[in-house]
Amino acid sequence: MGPGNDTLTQLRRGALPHCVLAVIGEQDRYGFELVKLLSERSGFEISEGTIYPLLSRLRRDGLVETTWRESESGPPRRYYRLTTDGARALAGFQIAWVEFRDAVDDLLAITERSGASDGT
Amino acid sequence: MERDEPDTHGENDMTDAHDPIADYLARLERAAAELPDDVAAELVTDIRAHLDEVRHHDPGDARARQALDDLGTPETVVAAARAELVPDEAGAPVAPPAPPMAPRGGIGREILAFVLAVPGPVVAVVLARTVGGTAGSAPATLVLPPLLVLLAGWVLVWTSRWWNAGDKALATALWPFGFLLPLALWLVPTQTCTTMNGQEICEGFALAPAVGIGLFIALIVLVLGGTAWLFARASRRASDPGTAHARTTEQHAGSR
Repeated sequence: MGPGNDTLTQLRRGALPHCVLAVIGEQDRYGFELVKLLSERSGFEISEGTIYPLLSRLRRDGLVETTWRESESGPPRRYYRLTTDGARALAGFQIAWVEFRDAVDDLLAITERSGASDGT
Repeated sequence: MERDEPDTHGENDMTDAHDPIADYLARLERAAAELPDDVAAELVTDIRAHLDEVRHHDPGDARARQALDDLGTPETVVAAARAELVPDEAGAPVAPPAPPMAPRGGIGREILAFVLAVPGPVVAVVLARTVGGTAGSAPATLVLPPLLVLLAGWVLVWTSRWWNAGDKALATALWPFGFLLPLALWLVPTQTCTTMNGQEICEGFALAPAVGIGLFIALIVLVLGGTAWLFARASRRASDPGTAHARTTEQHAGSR
């Protein structure tokens, strides 16, 4: 079994807030739209409902701000927008993530090669 | 500016008992009751807006059930909200608020404080006299050791984890002054009477023996009772992690 599943869960949890920031940073999004965008991406395996508490926390942390807007045909929508702090947090994560990802890739590649030469 | 509630609730105002969305929202509200009010209100508003959107696109029950399924159970959503309340970004498994890490322990400090404050100074004087030889009767050696011992006792009293400020003040007053009180009774000036020209003239103030003994016993009981009460309080708190926590913060404020 190994720690695989648990590690992935932790990784998802750690990365999700920044993915949310990235999606909002692209353009202002309303809750339903945001949730659908995130849940359609395979890999995140989350209950859609749990994204709202995350959005709430990002707002309390001052990384996003929200406004209710009337929609032309549908119900009122709550739009999320990045704050300056949110944009800064996102930029910081993007750099850190690339470094981290490259480091992991490098290490995994080494392990793969040595594993192959051992014949295991 | 942000509004807490949209003006309308869209199409979900119907209160059909079999409306799965209404059922879901009712369950969510119940589950969210454990959250802080503002967090709960925001969560319910967000989920309601989400479901309004679903209804708007497709009012059918099948679509509604699918949407509710995608959301996860109300309990799951509330658990996620609870996890977000913890500063930990990773959303660690829902942790109960602050496990009682407070040090449970004994009341050794309090017992030692009593020993140092009450018999301590007396023992110190006796020791100073025996060990000190000729210097033992110098005023400095008679005053300093008992004073230091007493001070050490008081320091222990005031750094107690289990007593609050009131308890500490009481302990300081009782130990050792409370214990001196019954002894001080012997110092009450006794009545001296002289017979002059066949007339008895008495000076001073006399306590009837019964009153004197009664007062003496009352003082002893009071002092011992106060001491027992202090120890009972300390040992009760020492074995109760809940109060231990409160006392610990006070101790940090008081002794650092």
